[in-house]
Amino acid sequence: MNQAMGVYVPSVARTVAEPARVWVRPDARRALQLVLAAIWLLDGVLQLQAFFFTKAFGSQMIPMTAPGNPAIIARAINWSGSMISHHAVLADSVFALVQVAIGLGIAWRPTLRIALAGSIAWSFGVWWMGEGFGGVFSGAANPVNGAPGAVMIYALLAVLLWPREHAEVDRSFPAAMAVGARAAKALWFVLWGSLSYFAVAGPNSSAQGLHGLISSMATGEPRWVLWLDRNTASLLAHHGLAVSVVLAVLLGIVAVVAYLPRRLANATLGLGIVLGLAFWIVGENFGALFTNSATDVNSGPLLILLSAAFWRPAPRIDPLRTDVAFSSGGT
Amino acid sequence: MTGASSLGDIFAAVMIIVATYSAGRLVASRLWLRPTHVDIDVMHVLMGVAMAGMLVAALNPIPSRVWEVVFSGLAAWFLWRCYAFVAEHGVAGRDEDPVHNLSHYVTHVVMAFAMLYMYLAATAPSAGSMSGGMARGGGATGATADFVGLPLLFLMVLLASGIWELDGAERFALSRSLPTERVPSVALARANRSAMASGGDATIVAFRDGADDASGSRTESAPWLAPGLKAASHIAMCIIMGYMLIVML
Repeated sequence: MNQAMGVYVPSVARTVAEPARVWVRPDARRALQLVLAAIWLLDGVLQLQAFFFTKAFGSQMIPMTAPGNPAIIARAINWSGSMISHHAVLADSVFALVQVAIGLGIAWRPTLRIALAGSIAWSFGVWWMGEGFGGVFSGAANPVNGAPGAVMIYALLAVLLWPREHAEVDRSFPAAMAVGARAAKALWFVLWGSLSYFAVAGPNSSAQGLHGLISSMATGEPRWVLWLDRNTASLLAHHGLAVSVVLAVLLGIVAVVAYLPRRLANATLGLGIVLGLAFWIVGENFGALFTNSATDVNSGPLLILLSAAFWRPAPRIDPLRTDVAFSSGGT
Repeated sequence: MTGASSLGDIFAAVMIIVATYSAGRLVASRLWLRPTHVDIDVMHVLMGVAMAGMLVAALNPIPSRVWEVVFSGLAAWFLWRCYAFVAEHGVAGRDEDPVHNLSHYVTHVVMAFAMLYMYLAATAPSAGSMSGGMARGGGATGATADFVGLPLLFLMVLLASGIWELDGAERFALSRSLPTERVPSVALARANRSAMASGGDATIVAFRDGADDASGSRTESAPWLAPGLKAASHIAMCIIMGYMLIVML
């Protein structure tokens, strides 16, 4: 075998003169965008499952989110359910295509911005018409099973991972690059603070609230997930209030993470990741992926992805500049 | 015709197109003396035909047992390719094809095992018959399939691979547009440093000029054969195989 080494590069001068031709390795923000793209792609493929091509998707699944919502919201949900059930094949084909297009659009660099913008609009529509605003107005929202809605976190991620580039970009952490550290931290606080509130709101603080919630998730799951649900539900029986209060405190701690010094913030971000994982496994049954009726991965993986976007890297000195490339990430 | 069965027909048609295109690549690379990964093109031909047969049973030319042997062999081959790659280039090295690295072979190992899984799961006693094709309800589904961790892992790898391939699409344009030069490793390092100074962590791609790769294809300085279309084929396969795995969860 010939061991001579050649390279597909022009002279050094040409490389510098035409940087746009050089493929740039994904940085932390781009890596997060790619994970988001993969999740959108998975959602699009999930939408292709046989159940969603039937009338039952529009006539049974969609209207389930309507009860308890204000009339104006419930009417829109029922209307969309009716439209979907009457045109099940067409509607589901469009839903799947849009989500696959968003995923591929985020992955392909020239269409990144339009795909992210499209994902925000799509997420809002689905949050309203498909998820009834995640039960926020009906009092049914519980972060354990994904409320107030995974699609809302998709939109939030699209905003925070927007590819904004100019000299004054705040590089404290990936989520700060688009909207600045202050706005990113505020958005983080609102999200996790609301999760903390919903953990103890309404029926969630009752003695049997969490027990009933987890017991109701079992339909269509494999045996080992049923076993997990059954045992978790029995552990939580009659302890719903205490567990909900502890959960609310933990979520509240995560809510203030963004305002902590770098080391403490990164350590506490781990708590957010653990909570996201726990929700995904216990309360969301892995996004119900094994039931052949999941439309998305639910909120757990998105909370983990969001936490990664707030990870503050250690400061490093840029050899080409005298200032610090990444700030220390203090408040 | 329901939406799901139409989908199976459409996906089967896409797979036949991919298989035909990949077979065409093998011929074109010989005719035009353009380098290509022969083993990967062969795998795409076989996977395209096999997946079309899984989606629409009438298109399946050979029994499932034969496919199981074929994909066992392909899995073993690509495991060997992974080992050979690491031995020659290291874990982080670049392939003869200037845009790929070890993940390219790992993905094809996963694809071969995913095909094996689908054949074995679909012929398991508790699973449905494949006679009507997957889109018509064949294969293991829902609560009958307790062994879901492995297909879920396959699914994640496939979708990540498709996304990664698309993100790197600009690398194909780069390898087409730039002239080939022999540059010593010191110059390569200098070029990398300069590119980093101009725009971040630039990757300067490299390949072995005039080398014979393990599959026998000649890697002259001629541009690689339609890398963008090959990537498109790969992405289509990742998505459709992902769909098939989800149907079987």
